[in-house]
Amino acid sequence: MGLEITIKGLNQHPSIKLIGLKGELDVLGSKKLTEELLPIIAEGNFYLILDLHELVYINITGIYSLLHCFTKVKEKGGFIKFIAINERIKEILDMAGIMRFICIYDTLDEALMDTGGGKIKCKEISK
Amino acid sequence: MTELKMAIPSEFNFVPGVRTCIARIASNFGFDDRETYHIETVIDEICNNAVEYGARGRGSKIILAAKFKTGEMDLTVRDSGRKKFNVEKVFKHNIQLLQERVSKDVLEQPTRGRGLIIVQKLVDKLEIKPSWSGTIVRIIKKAGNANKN
Repeated sequence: MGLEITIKGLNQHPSIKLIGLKGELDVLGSKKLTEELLPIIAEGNFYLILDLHELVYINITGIYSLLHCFTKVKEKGGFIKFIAINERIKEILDMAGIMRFICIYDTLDEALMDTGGGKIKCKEISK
Repeated sequence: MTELKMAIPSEFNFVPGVRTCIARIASNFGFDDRETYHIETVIDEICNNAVEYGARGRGSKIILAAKFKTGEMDLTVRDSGRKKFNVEKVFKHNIQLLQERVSKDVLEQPTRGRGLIIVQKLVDKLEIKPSWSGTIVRIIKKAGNANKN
């Protein structure tokens, strides 16, 4: 199945990129993710929303590749928000102990509405 | 009892097919969708460890042997050895300490240690036997215990 990555801008929020992940974020998918996402971050895109509704699998390497991108944008004062994570993947993220570091929303609208102090609490990285 | 044995090249490219294959077979033995997903995760982490820490290239293999009966899977994964995986340091004796550190400082922890912690949470029994000729990992997964953690 592999991993498919789509990247698009949001008309009303030009500083934000919407990244869609479809398939499996495993060892092979992680390599692809960092190869495609890190250059985008390096170009100055520090506000990312990851749409995971079509992501069907994640492993520990995948989690760390996401965290790697996460720390890169945080260093620049940006964010990565996650939307539409299915319950299976949420369970693995929870077991890996990273749920407290990331912002998860059900929909894109909810993610866009939360500007930090909005109705949905966004947990900050502790270091 | 149904037995399955397979040998795959010790390369990351072969792991997705194997984890999917065995998880699908497990679904025929009383494991529900969530447990089948857990089995896929466990096989993935163990096989990735085997590729990373076992011999690679020149015909190196990973041997998987699974025994299925209704509601139970008993799986062993054997690599052919290269770097001796220091189980005592990474996992066995420090599991509590590692879990405490994980809960406090997740981003600084080694990837492999965390993978094994997930494996441990998802199975009913985990044994790791390192040796100079390769590491053998054995897991037992029973159906109906998905909420044990």
